Amino acid sequence: MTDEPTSEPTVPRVSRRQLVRTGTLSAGVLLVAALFLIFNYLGWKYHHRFDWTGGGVYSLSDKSKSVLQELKKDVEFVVFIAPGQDLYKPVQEILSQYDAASQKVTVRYFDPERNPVEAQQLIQKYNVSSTGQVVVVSGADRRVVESADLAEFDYSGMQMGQPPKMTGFKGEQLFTGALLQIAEGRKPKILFTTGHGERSLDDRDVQGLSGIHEILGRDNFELEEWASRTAAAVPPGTDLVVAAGPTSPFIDSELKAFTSYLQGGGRMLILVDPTLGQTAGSGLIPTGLTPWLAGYGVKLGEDIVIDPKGAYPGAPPYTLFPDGYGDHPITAPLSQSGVPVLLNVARSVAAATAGNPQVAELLRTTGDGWGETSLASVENVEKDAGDLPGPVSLGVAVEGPKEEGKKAWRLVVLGDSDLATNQLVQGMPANAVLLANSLNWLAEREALLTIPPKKTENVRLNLTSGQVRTIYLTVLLLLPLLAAGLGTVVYFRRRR
Amino acid sequence: MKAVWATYTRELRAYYFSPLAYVVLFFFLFVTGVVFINLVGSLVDPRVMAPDPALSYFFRSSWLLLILLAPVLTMRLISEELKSGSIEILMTAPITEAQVVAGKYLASFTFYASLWLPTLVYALLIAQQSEVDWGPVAAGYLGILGIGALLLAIGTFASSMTRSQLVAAMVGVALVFLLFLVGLFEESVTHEGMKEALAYVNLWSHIDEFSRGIVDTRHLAYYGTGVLFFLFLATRALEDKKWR
Repeated sequence: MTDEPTSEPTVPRVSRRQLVRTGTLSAGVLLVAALFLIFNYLGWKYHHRFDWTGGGVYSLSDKSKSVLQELKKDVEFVVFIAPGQDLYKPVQEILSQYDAASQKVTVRYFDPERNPVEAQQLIQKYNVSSTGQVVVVSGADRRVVESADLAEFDYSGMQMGQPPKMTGFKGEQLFTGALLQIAEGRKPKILFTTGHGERSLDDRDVQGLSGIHEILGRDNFELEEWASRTAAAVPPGTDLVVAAGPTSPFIDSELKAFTSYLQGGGRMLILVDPTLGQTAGSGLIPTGLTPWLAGYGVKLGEDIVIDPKGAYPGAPPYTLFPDGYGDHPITAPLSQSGVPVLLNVARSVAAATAGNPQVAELLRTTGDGWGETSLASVENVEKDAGDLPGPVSLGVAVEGPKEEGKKAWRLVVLGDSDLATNQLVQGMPANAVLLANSLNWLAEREALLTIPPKKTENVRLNLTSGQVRTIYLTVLLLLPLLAAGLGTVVYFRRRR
Repeated sequence: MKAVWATYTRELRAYYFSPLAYVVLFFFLFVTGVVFINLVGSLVDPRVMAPDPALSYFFRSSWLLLILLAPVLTMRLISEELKSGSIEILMTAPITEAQVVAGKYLASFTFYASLWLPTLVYALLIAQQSEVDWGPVAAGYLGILGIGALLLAIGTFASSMTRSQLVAAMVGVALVFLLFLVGLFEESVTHEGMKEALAYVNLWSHIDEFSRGIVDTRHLAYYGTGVLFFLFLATRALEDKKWR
């Protein structure tokens, strides 16, 4: 037997050990990588977003949460706001919360600059006129939220060359409003009376109502014109009747129809101007509404309201901004925001008897305003003894007595219909708010009015040049030099 | 725990007794100071739209320093020990690789957090002149600490892979930069799922949210698990060196 040299390979044995070690290492790394992915998936699925802002800018109100929880239909928010726009971030944040709060909500963003073709198709599909809108879609039903309505701006600094400052964000108010309207299903039906020289819903002229027609349509109201003169009663299923600027009298059968409609829990908005008769000194043209409204506790003044202090700059004193708003859900948002409504040739509308709790004042002039009763000429008028002293009430909201099992009637009377015309609605956004709020209150959709805008931080520094210099020196010299000084001390201590 | 504490204090001393740390602090305060001065400029000038909340601009801009800062702060951590051979002495001591890594990492994080401490002066300077909403400021710092924690863990891992501090810094910068780039891709991707996944790791949008006062647990979970993952990798790299 010869001893043959054993050729036990040592290298392969080391390789095997190395192989085992590398294998164990890789398996360990893979296992931990898998755990990393699993934990992150769970973290992503069951996440929570905390809002640390003082004003709760990114938190949904309880009202929105309950609306979202009760959603029965799928709703999609289609955003046509470019990422560079100021409103993009707050809209994105608030909608991500809607998305997180309900499985029925989805959100899609379209940047008209990056996807012009797709955005254009959708703009046509949703019938929106321009970009800068959020469309809330549920099946065939949709609402459009304009970016101009989403924020409140402070324009006070514009004369000094400052840009408008965003002082509040109304995204939640508007988006939840749109969801409520969608949840409502049926659109409240509003009939506009015709046959008495009223303003027309389809009239695109400055004196027409096509602008408000469009705005209220977006608010989920269905608006139709109605020839009341030939009707024996208000058609069943009518949620609201509007008389917008009648210039000839309503006949008895119409007033009776209105009375029985209100007795059955009906709702009416009356915009009634002081229309002068053809001949000088003939006074105001009667509409038949003065005695009828007196029966509901409303006094329609035979006057034209004048207010030199509240007049629109450069305009006659009968084109005026009301000075104050009454404490009522209709005017509360206007009173909070301080945005003015503009009226043109209005008459006084007040409670027939002072202190009637059913009648709430909505708008009033300054104390210097008055109701001019000498109607021969409204130019160069002066306040005198026979006039109605200010502050003059320009509109009221009235609610009938609440009885169990019976819907109480509601009535809003404003002493001007010009405020609803295209000319004033387009120039004065608060006019549209006043009208929409009146209709929402009449239709008992108060929920649409109650979410207050979120206030943003808005830090501005008013520093003198000396203060700015101190900040510069502190930040760019003092702090870095302190660090350098500490480093030098450490260096010399180490050398010792 | 004792072993981690011992490594932690030893490493922390090394940080604070090194003049280099103060050079880093000097440049850090100078650069963040320039960012703050820029912010003050926009808050003073009525023609410029002020950021909202005011300090969000500070966080959104100065966090970019982390691309360099995190690898620089961590490059020395393990590679120096590997190069000098002191790691072998350390390994003969009754201490595990994980404890070494944890102690060193925590020291780097403490030093990193202390770099940001003087920047609180900026918020106080604004608060002297105007009302400041402190919630978004606190959230901004939370974001800065969270993202810093993740990037320092990546740097620690890079340092455990090589004996050269320079290589460690370069690998660290490359890894961190990759993470930054991923965020930039989110904008250009149109696939919904992919977009959502990229948004999850997009540190740009994370700091944006933190700076506006939104604290999302998804981001915190991502940083926490990311830190553990990279520290695990660093530990395994160290173990691997031990056996060679």
